This record gives sequence, structure tokens and C-alpha cells, in this order.
Amino acid sequence: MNCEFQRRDGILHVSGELNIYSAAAFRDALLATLAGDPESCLIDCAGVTEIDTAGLQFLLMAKRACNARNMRCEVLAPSAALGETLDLLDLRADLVAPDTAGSPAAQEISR
Amino acid sequence: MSRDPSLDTFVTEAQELLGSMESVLLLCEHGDADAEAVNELFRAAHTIKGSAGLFGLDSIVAFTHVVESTLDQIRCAGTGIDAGLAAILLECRDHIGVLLAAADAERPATPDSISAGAAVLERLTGQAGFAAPEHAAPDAATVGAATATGHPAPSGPPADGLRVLADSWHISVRFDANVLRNGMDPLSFVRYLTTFGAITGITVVDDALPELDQFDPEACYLGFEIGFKTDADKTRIEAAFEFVREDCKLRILPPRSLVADYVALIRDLPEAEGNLGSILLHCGTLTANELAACLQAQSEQADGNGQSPRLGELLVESGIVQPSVVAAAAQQQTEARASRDAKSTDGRSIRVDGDKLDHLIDLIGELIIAGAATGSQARQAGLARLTESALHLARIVEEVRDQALKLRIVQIGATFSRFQRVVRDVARESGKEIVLEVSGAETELDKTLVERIADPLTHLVRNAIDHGIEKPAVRRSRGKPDAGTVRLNAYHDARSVVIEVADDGGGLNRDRILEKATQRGLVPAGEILTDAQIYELIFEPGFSTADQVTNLSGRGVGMDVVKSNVTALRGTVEIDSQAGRGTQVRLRLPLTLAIIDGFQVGVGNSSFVIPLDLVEECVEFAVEAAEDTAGGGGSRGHIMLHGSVLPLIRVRDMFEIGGNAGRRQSVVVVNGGGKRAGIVVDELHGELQAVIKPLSRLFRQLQGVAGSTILGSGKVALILDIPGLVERGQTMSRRLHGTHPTAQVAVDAAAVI
Repeated sequence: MNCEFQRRDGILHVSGELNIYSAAAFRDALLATLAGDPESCLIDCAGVTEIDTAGLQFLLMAKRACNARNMRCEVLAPSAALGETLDLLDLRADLVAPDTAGSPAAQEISR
Repeated sequence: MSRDPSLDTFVTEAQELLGSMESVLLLCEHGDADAEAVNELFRAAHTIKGSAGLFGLDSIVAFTHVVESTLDQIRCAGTGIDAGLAAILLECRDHIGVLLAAADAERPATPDSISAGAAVLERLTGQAGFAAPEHAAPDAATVGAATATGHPAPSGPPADGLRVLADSWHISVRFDANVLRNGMDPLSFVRYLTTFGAITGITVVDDALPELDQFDPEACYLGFEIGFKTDADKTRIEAAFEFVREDCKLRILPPRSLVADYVALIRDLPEAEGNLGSILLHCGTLTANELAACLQAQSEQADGNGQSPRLGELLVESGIVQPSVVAAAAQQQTEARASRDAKSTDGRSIRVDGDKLDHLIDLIGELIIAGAATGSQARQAGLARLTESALHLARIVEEVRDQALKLRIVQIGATFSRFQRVVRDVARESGKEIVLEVSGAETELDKTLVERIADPLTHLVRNAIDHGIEKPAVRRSRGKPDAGTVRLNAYHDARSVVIEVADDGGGLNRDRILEKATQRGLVPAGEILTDAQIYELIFEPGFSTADQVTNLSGRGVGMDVVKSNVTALRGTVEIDSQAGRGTQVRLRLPLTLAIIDGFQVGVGNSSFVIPLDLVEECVEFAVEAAEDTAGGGGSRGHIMLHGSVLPLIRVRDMFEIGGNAGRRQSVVVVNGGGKRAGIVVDELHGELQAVIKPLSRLFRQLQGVAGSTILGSGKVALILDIPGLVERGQTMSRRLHGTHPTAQVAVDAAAVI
């Protein structure tokens, strides 16, 4: 597995290649997160080294599933690889929490 | 450029749609159409236009678009289609047919056809009575102009609203679920686009995403709406998606497309509850700012009165989009549900390449031959159990044969219904009132037969109207109703199909035909013929009674071609006529062309096959009795059977087979084209399935033989052309003996010599 999912401090940290091979694991991780009935779902994507359609699609799925539960869902600190893809598809505004990319908190998380 | 194979599919489907449009329009013309008619017409036009767009057939798209919009307005207005409008719509339908034929032949539309199309459209929009000031009329005019000049309409003030301002391409793509599993990454195609152009706007369409618990991480649910600025052409853009061509639905609109094209795109989008705003935005109809302004206005109003007006209305009010665009988007949303319901009933039939079917039938033919060989080997080896299993095998092969042949079998109804149109047109041209009555539409026959019989039938129907049915005034004076009746009927009879074309007109002019035939030397002067023989004369090559030729009949195939076409299909033509009451032409055709049930007989060392359905009975031949009456060369003769005279055809003499017949010969009584005859043979071998192999060119002229087949033993057997043999026997007797103007029995007696 080239991708890891960790839950720390109410944030789901994703690192590695977010692609078709890890999408199922991502799904399980999200389900586990949602099972805890948190206030919001924050996904830290600072460690994402690569993303494909399956991975991107899952981010959209997560957003949608959270919205259906009246829950906030944000991608925090997208890595360069993810950021490039989000910009290509004009999805940054849809997925990424405003001001997190450059905020100190985000910086800290990404460290 | 190589031909896109899916173009063939498009042409076939479009022709079918045109066919259904035609039948609906004919109903409309008679005032028999129901409320569903307009919808059906609209859907047909819409589908043709949409598919034509995929192939870049702009002339079809432009023309059909106007037809479609008019139909849409009729549908919305609920005014229905009267006879006048139906007539013009029929012309429109024909013009689409012309354009389609041009596209099929891969040649551009001729200037003539373009101006003809523009003229028809003008009348259509005039007749439909939709001055439609907002958009419909200028829309039509623009398209008409574009069609007529072959260039996009100049962007003057009136055309401004019709073409979208965006100067970028619009790409709409939806990926199939399995595209990821196939190792494709849709993202990479989007990335590739950026190598030869710039994405001006993009939306990821994720409406297809399911609930989280039903989400399959490896399935693709996404689509993209992309605005794309590039100098590359459509082919280049399409090529970017080459690897997923099979796994996605790709639609590409060029810059500054007509609003109508965007409307069509919105209608085609699969998203049922698609966000209207984003669809409009990403079709390039709206800029993001315009949309944002609208959304702002919407939320403000919602705050004010607690009720949010529909976005579409707001957009129109703000003058940002054309009403027609919004209507299309809204309509797509309501139609999406309806079409989903309809889809579940589809899929009961599949379309198969005719060549594949032919190949299958060929193989089954070989299977039958091989099976017969196995059977005869088994019998020779004397192994009872092997024989038994060979018989079992043969039975199954026979069933397989029947089923395979059924695949080719179609109902004749579709062909018959085409004649509604022929009758209508010919009746108009000739100024007669004609009613077409169709019966036996459910009669089934081989598709190849249907195709090959269509032309002869058309000629017969035209003939019936043009020559057969009198002018209304004449009909009245004869005490007949003004409207003439043409009847098409089909039924099965003794393993053959009979198709009748009958009219209630004046009947054939017996004396006139005879006079012409005598003039042309077809019949010696003073010769006396039966009515049936006289009617037969109209099948002579080039025969025409000059005062009958009009521009209607006589430009297609002649009656002699009708006859030769039917004969080539192993069929026969009969004609019947009563003066003042009408004419009936009867075509009798075999059910199938490829395989027949045959009856195998032997003469000397040779084997012959007689089509089983022509065999009536077999009787023992009393040589002594026949020789008493045999005259001439001894090759003919007759016997008395069941109290009537049965002319004989001696195969041994006819094909000059050497050797002497044994003491025990047999007579196979056959019925060829309504005339009976006895075939004299040495031995009866019994039934078999004969796979018909055509004779090679060298033997094409051979008379009395319809084809050949291969027996289980590997030997070749000739299939006797029974109708030909029977007729030949009669002609020869007539030539030799003269004829008698009396009844049929007497003619048969004359054939005896």
C-alpha cells in the first residue's frame, strides 16, 4: 500500500498516492471517521504525492456524503500534486477550505 | 479518409426513423393521428439531428433542426398537425432522406438540393403559423441562410442572439463506469488537452455519484464540461479521447455554435436533475459572472418573499439567455425521467450484420450436407446405434436450420406500409383518389425476398393506379365510388408466399393488348388465344400499349422486369382481370432462398431433386398405358389421373440421359404455378434437405434446372425447375399445335400432343 490514512486530532491525514489502488482504503477510512459522528470532516492532503481520477472522485464523494449529513467537509493543505489537479479542474474552491492552504495552522499540519 | 463504420449504423437508424415519421405523417394527413403523433415526430427528428451532429453532418443538423423546432412549437402550442402541414412535413422528411443519401454516399449536398431544402423550410415555417417573434422565425431564417450559402450566417444584429459569443470549443464528456478498471485515467485526457490549447472553463460533473454505501471506489462516475480554446480542429480534439472512444460519450461543439446546438447538447445531457445554472454556464451560454449575478438576484428575491423563482425565469428576465435555451434545459429535466421509464422496455431485439447471418446460414448448409453424409455412412455400415444417433443429429440440425432461417424472416407489413406513401404520391400526380387496403401484413418471409420484391411491387402498385384505376368521372359513370381501391394482400400457401396486388379499376383491355401484340409480331395474326394467354403478353419484354405510357409508369421497371425479377427468386406471376371490375396480379414466392425440403429421384445414374412443396403425389407409371398415347418424339405424353388429363415430362428424354428405363417407372405429380404435370422418373429416393448451390455462370442458360445441391454421398444432384419445366412443356405444345380458345383443361389437353 502506497497510501496511508491516519486519524489524529479529528483530522484524517492522507499521505502517499491517492489513486485507484488506495481508493477503497480511503473509503474505509472515511466510513470509520464518519462512524464517530464528528462535527466536521477535515481531510489533510498535505502528504498526497499523486492523485488520479479515482482519488479525486473520492474527494468529491466524501464532500457529497458529508453534505448529505449536514457536515462540513474540507480538504486541508493540498499538496502541490493535488493542488495542480484541483486547479486544472477548477475544483479548488469546491473542496479546499478557504485560507487553509497558506494559514499557519495548515503549515503546522503539513509539517 | 476511411469510412467510419458507425456511419452505416447511423444511416440505417435514420432511415428507420424517417420511415416511422412517414407513417405517422400519413396518419396525420388522414386525420387519424393521436396526441402522441407530434411527440413521436419530434423525437425522431431530434434523434436524427443529434446523431447527425456526432458525424459532423452539418447540412442534416441545420435542416433537421428547423423541422425539430417547428415540431416542438407545435407540441407546445398543442395545435396538432393538419393535412396541409403534414404534406409539407412529408416533404421535409423527404429532404432529410435526400441529405442522408448524400451523406451515405459521402458527397456534399448539391446546390439544387440546398435551395430546395431552404424553400421547403420557408413553407414549413409559414404553414406552421408560428411567426414566433422572439426566436423561432429568425432562428429558422438564420439556419436557412446558413444552409443556402454554405457559410455561417453573418453576425448582424438579428443573428447576434442566436450564436453564442464564446469563441471557444465546448467539450462535453461522460465516462463509462469501467473506464478506471480498464486502466484509463480520465484526468490524463484533460491534461492532454492543455498541450494544444487552453481550458477556459471546466466543471466536473459528479451528479452520477451514488450514496456513500453504494459507492464503488473503482468505478468512474464523473464527466466533464470543458470550454476549450484552441486552433486545432475537431479531429484533433476527438483524437485526444481516442483511447476512451469506446468508454465515453463525447460531444464537441465548435466555437460560436448556434444556440440550437447548445440546446441540443443540454437535451442530450444524461443528468436528470442537472443543475440548470451549471449546465448553462458550462455550455458557454453564460459567463460565470452572469450566472453569479443571477444567483445573487435569486437569493435576494428568496429572502424577500420566501419563495425562490425558477432560475431559468431569472436568466431570461435578465436578458442573459435565450428563452429557447432555458426551455430546452427545463424540458431535459422533465424528459429525463420519462426516458428512463421507457428504456426498460427497450433491448428486446438486437441488430445483427446481415453478412454474419448469411455466413451462419451457409455454415448450416454445410452442416446439413455433412449430417446427411454421416447418416448415409451409418446406414451403409449397418450399425443400428450409429444410425440412430445420426438420425437424432439430423433432427436437431433440421431444427437449427429452421431457427436460423427464422432469423432472416421478417413480416411483410413494414414493406406494405411503405406503399401508403407510394399510393399517396401517385394518386396526387394522376389526380385520382385512391384508398390502399392492406391485409396479411403479418405474413412472414425471408428478408432477402422482401428486399428484392420491393421494386417489382412498387411497379405493380404504380401500374394499378396509373393504368388500372379510372379517373373519378369515368368511375362515377360506371357506378363505382369515386375513390379507387388498391389492395395489397399476402398469405402463405403450400410453403410459399403469395403477394397479391389488386385494383378495382377497368381491368386489362384484352383487345388492345392483342392488337398491339399482333402488330409487334408477338402473336401471328388470326391466332386465337385464351384471356390468360393474352394477359401473359404484357410480360413480354418492351411490351407497352403506347397510349398508356405516362411519366408515372414506364419510367421504373417494366412488367417484363417484374416477371424476370420474380422468376429469379424462383417465383411465378399470375394475372387475372375482369373487364370493368379490376385486375389482380399474384406473385408466388418461395419462403426462403437458401435451403429447401426436396424430394430426391433417380433417372439412370443421375439424381434429381424436386422441391417437396411442389410434389402432390407419386403414382406408379404403367408404361404400356402411356405408350399408347405418346406421340411426336415420345418425350411427352399424358396419363389419365383421377379422371383428368395429366401431361407428362420425361426427365430421361429431356436431359438425354442414356440407358433404358426399367420396367417400374414412377410419376411424381407436381403442381408448378397452378398447373399440374407428371414427372417420369426411374426411382424414388425420398425426402432430403437440399442446400441450394447456384449454378455457375457457364450453366446459367440451362433450362429446366434451378440449381444444384450436394447429396450425403457427395454426389451432385440437379434441382429441377418445375414451374419452368411445366411452362416449357406448354409453350412447346402451343407452338407446335396452335391453341384453342376454350378453357384451361383444353389447353392442358393440347399440351399432350
